[in-house]
Amino acid sequence: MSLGAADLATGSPVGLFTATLETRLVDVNPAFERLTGVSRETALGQPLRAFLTHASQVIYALKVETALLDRGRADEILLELQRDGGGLPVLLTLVSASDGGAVRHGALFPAPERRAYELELIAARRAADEARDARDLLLREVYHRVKNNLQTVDSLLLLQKRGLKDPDAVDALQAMRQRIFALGLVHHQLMGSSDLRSFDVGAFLRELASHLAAAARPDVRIEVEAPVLPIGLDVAIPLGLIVTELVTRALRHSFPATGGTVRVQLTPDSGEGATLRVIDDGQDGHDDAHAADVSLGLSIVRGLVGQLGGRIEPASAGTTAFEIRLPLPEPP
Amino acid sequence: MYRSAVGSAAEFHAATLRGEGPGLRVLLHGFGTDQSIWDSLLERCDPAAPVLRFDHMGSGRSRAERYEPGRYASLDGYAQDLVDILDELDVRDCAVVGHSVSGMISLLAAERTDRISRLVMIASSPRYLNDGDYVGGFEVSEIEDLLRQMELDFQGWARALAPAAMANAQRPELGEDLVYSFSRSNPEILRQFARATFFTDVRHRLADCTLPVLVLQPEADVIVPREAAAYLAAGLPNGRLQVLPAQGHYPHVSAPDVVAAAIEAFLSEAEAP
Amino acid sequence: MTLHRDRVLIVEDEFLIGEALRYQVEDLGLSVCGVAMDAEAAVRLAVSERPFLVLSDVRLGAGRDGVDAAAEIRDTVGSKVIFITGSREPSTLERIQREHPAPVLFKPVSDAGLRAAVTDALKDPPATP
Repeated sequence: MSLGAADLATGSPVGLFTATLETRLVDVNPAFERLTGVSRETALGQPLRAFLTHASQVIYALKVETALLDRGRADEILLELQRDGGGLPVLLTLVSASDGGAVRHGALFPAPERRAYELELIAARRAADEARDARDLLLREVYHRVKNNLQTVDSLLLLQKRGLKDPDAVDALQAMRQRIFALGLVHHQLMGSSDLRSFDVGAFLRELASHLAAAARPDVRIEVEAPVLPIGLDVAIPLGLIVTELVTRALRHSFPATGGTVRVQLTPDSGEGATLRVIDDGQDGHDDAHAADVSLGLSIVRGLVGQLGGRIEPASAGTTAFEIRLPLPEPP
Repeated sequence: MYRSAVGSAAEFHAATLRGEGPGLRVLLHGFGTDQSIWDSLLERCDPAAPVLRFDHMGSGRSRAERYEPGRYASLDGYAQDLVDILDELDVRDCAVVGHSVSGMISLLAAERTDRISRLVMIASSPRYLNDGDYVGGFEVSEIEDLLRQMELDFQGWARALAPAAMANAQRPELGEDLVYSFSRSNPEILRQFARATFFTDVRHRLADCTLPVLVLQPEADVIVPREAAAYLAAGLPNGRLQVLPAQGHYPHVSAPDVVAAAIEAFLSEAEAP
Repeated sequence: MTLHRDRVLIVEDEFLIGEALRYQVEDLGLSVCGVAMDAEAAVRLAVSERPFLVLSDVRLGAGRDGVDAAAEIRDTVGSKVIFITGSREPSTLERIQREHPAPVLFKPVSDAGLRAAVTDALKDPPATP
């Protein structure tokens, strides 16, 4: 060893050592002695792990042993040296000799700062998790309150309806209850979603359809064809109301005497859009389909399609009652 | 190549099956590693024997989103995973080779199923804590210290463990995502796994296991004292201790020839009528 | 001591929702023996009126909640329970399954949903207290 190299080892602020393949110490420098608090004479021949806290010996086995077996080296492993009054954090790097000899070279860096910032990192991570949990809790509570308020509105309509004799008025209130159910269902889906922001449009439409079907003649079926596709509140509210209006309308006008099927199809286009079709195989030709906004239902549909930036296609041939092209932006 | 069904326990644990036929060997990695730890041992074992490997919850390519704190609070959840996979694949008469904590996981699984007929435990301990005359090797304060240090080196664990799990990721940008998702959830799962491991005590369940068991213990192991391995072998009615001329906690990696020979000898003997 | 098969007790701390539920139940041809606004009133009414069925909200303001009340009513009277909740909290649903497995309806409760759940409940014999 040249004088320069010896100086390097002697004056180094980093603990340096050489060891056998089993990591028994062959030589150590003065910084190693200072870090471990053990003299060179005592240290030589001992396994490196003997100078670690017992817990760090386990970490040594789990991380350093596996890394040496796997890659022949271990880098920047945070360990604690056994010192009076507790562990001294160090980073251990250990490599095999570059000439392939049966010796390992290692360095120990004191790392009190590293422990401090790891602790800060842990604290920051906990704080972030707590903030996210608190936000989720608040969002759930908001959705819950909104749903409860919608239930109260629904209750008021139900109470009002009970006093009415005029069948048109009863129908109008019942239609209002269906719309409110659609709004409640959106919040219900949001509460059940993992990110509290979006949910699957297919599951939503199927649940909506099964609710609407329950109010129809028992021999009328509603079938939903929709992909698994996440949608957010901004799309779900208008979409739910549009489907409610169109299905309700089909149920009212198309099946005066016999049963049949109403189909709700949502087909993704190439790009960010989708086509919504509400089709039925009933008898009525939907005389009012394009007769201006004669009913509240149709004006709601037109308005909401506009709000979503979509357009209503002219009725195609056959029994297609409504075909609407909608942009479906990804939920926020 | 066997492909596990979507939504199956085998898929959730990234199970891989090599070969087919009777005499299946199930290899269970220990704490802090994944199924790739068995590569060098497998090169030295009977190439005709079918081999099933998988990753424990939170390790390797297992699906961390399936993690349930309650299920995995003790080793029983990990044992049930093994049972579920054996049930799914309708495995019969298999040998389970478990490293470290997986020795105990295989023991608990054998209580729950009759699909397992032999066990090999490598560097396993029935209890890590000292208890009266029993030498487990650790005091409670030392285990608490270990768990604290593991939490302190959160990022270090993620970095150390993720590359092994992602070794096959051909697309680096995908690998980065995987490393991120791995480091997001898995270190916490592994810390709970460590807690379940180091505070476990299955000494009272040894006598009920009548299967032939080979306990392989390296000469020098920081984690499992020789006394604990001897206690384990003596407590099992059909247990046998074999001390290996190997250093460290991973004899199947550091001395695969010795371990392979011991396993082949034991399994051929146990297979004889 | 038999239960009154056509009699339903409603447990709901909000007056309007409770009244609307009363109408919905009456439209099914059943009679409502009371609308209790807290757990204590619910248990008291169940003991005196012996309804076959209890429709219970989960959250009941301060004090014991609907799950507590339902468990006590089942144990002392033997009535069947249908829970009604605006919440989808997994913890609440888990608690219901753990402490008092019963059907759950989500608010807003539709006429059809209520009819199906009530018809289903009336099929079974009452729980044995």
